[in-house]
Amino acid sequence: MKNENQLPDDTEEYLTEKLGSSVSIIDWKRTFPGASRETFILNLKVGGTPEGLVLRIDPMGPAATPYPLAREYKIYESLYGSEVPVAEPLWFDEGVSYASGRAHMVRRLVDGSTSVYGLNDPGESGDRVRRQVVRELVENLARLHSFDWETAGLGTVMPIPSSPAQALRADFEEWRNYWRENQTEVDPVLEEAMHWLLENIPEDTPRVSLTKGNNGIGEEIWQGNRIVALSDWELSCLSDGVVDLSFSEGTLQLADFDEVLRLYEHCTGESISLERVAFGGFLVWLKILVSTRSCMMKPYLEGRHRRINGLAFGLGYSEDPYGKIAACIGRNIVDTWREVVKGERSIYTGYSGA
Amino acid sequence: MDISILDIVRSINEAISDQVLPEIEAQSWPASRLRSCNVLLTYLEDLLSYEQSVLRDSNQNMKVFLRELFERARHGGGDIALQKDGEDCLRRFSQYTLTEDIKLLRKENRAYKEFLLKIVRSRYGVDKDNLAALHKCLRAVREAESRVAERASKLLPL
Repeated sequence: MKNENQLPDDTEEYLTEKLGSSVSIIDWKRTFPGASRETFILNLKVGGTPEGLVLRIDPMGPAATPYPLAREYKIYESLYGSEVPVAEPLWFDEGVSYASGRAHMVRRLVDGSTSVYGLNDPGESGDRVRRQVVRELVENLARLHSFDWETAGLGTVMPIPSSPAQALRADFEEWRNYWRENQTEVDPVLEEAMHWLLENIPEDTPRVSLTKGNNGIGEEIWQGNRIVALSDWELSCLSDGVVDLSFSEGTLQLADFDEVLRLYEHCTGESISLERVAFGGFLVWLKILVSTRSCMMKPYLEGRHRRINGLAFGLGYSEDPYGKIAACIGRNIVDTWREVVKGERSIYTGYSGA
Repeated sequence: MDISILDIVRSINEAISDQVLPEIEAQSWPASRLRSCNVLLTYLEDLLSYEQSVLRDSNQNMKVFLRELFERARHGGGDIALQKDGEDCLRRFSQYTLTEDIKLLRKENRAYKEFLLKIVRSRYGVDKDNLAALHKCLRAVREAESRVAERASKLLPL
């Protein structure tokens, strides 16, 4: 294997051994962008029968998330067969000779696409697609947030907040501590911003939910305007579901954000305070900042891995969330959040949310 | 030869963004890696252009805040060891106020930030009045330093 964009050389032999039937690879491609972990779509013949699988491998360098792949696999296992749609997980392994011992998981390929046809179309037809996409995502997130993670055993692979009131604090503190242990520079500005946010944590979270993490277009598998599988759970955790509304990477900004909130409230049957929404926004920016600087850039700075996009994310991309977090210092967080997100445009269209 | 490092960096960056990238399939890994180069070269251009003035502004803001903080703290008691530590830090760099030496400016910047971090964590001397001054100082530091990464932050490295 020459680089991270290539499938490990012994993939056919490995799959033959795992599936107990002769496997030949018809074609494969590495999904794009898929920056957190290497993800390959494999079209195979298994014992002569066509089959599609998805192979997800820890990168040769650092992953863009502090959470291990084993945890992601456990989420698939827990959700498969529930009303939250996910692909069928087949196995997880690590420390074996395949892929130089890197952690990897295999799931069945779901027919669909990570993009939605017509999403960028102008006019009424495009508006209709955008409205449907937003509704579909909100309904799926609401279902996920009602999922019984406790019975599914997810508390064994991720920290459990002590109570719903402490859900946002626990999530925030986990990321603050990760930053403190893996910070890339001495940064009193970020430290004070985190101090300020901690003093302004809302405690009206009605329940602890399994959250998706980064979600929306580019993450989930869509057939037309419907989600057929929620995918890529690298930043999923137990927290306040409202955090996911700020982590849709532009998807929920396709509609008026107040309407998004009303729809989410309708789907969950619970009202949301603006304090929770605003704090969720700052928490997501902190996660992006820490992922790009501590997970992606730090290994580069320490000479452990010279992947150029790690440095580019850390020096360039992280600046935007950093500025948003810093803006809260000494100010009302709802006002600051409104000010920061006002006029932000979805990357999919020119619509401005909030 | 009359050519600067900045000119060379700018030329490479323009060649990649204007001539090479448009010829490559956008949704491909080679294009993604080139976009990362674009981000880094843009960052480097602005670092070469602004780092010195940004550090001078940032250091000046922190220096003024620390001086005022210690002045007030001297009358109010507080953690003597921490105060002495901070005053040593100020003294160490006070003779270089007008320096243009980038390495020294970086060293000074780091020293002030390390000390500010101690204050933020310990809340030393941070009463109601000083809190507003601390926030003002941190906002000014942030504003000064954002200049270096501002253009690069608008480019997607993927």
